[in-house]
Amino acid sequence: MSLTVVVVIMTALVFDFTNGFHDTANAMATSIATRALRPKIAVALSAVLNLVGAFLSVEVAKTISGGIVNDSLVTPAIVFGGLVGAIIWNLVTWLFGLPSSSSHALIGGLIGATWVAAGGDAVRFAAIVEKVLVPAVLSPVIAGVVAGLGTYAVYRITRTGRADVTARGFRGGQVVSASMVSLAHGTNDAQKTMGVITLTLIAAGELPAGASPPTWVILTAGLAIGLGTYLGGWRIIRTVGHRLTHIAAPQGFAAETSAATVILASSHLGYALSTTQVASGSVVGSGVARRSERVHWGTVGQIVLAWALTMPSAGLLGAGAGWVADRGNGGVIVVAILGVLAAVGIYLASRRRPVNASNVNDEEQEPVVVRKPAAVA
Amino acid sequence: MTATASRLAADVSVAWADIGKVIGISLLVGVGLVVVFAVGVRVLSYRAAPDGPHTPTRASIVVAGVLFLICAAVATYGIYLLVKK
Repeated sequence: MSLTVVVVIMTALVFDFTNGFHDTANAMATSIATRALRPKIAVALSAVLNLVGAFLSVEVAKTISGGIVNDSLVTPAIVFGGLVGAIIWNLVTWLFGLPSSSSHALIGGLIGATWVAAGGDAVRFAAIVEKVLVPAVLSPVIAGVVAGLGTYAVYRITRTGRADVTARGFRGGQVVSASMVSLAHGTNDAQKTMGVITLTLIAAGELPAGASPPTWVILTAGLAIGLGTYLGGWRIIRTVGHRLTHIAAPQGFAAETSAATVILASSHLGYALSTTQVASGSVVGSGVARRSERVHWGTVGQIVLAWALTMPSAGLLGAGAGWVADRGNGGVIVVAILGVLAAVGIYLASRRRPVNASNVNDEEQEPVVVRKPAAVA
Repeated sequence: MTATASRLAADVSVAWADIGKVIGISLLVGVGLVVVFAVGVRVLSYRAAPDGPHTPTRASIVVAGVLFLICAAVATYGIYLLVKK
């Protein structure tokens, strides 16, 4: 196995790890916010279900490997550049607590790196519009409408019931609905990284064309996403759980059920959509339907802006990283060093205002966008 | 870029029928399941005795149990779809 292949596999696992903690909020933010699950329990449950989900499905996510770019023109160095772009964008959005799509970051990074290194002809634009962009625009809206109708119905039906019985019942329901979202996430997102690693191994001649992911790839990818999930993207959990709207248990149940249904229905029909966007859309929809609580549209706007920026930004980062990495082993090393420095810098910046299991439910309102400290210069 | 754009317009074929299916299924299952569960939770509010800690009536426990089982069955079918894929 060449140095580049080893580096690509490690980078893919790092991406999978960021994917895990970036997306913990999808399944668990509402359950943590309504206290249906204690924060540590919620992330542990989600981590296990993500790991289980990685083993559930045996088919590689072909949207990533063959659908978006022409895989016969892609080299391990290009994949490496794309992954670095996706990781950096995931870390930046995490720093700001923005639930952006890890899948779109990965797709954007791969497109950018492929475009500069192998030319525009290697990028399948039509497939991207059809399989990625159209679902990206429609899915949060569909999830929001379903969650909104569900929330309205729930409050109509339980209006005359006992408040304590209702709250307890829906907290119980939330445990199941959040678990479904976690499981669906594991089968979808862990698969994407497995697809990338398998593609790299095939490109390097380590595996025959059309091979399924070897067991060690499934295991390491499942562990990486599970570990990331367990660490918990507390910054994003706080945004989804508290800063979009105030979430009560019946509403959280309706939002999670909507998210799980939309993800399952569309992935069954072959659309790889963003778990993150569906989950956020559901929370907003359930907030709109519950007229007693207001939706913080400013935060919604920031998130939608982050969604729109994700593919172009990860694409630009991936293009730069892919161009340098494609120069040879020296280029790969330069990109690796710059990537590690950027990651360490973002981590240190996050330490200024840490968010963790102990303060994730604190209601204090501060702007989502952390202002750049003046001391940087 | 112009060539890319025109090729794009020619190649894109959004499967609106599939998207319609996703919308239909999501509305039916996503809202239906929540309604069934909510009715189950609501009937648990009927109390067996006027005094003491809240205990649901026997009938409401049975009805709620059946409704929750329907929800569990749908969730299990969802897992089956995940595994089968």
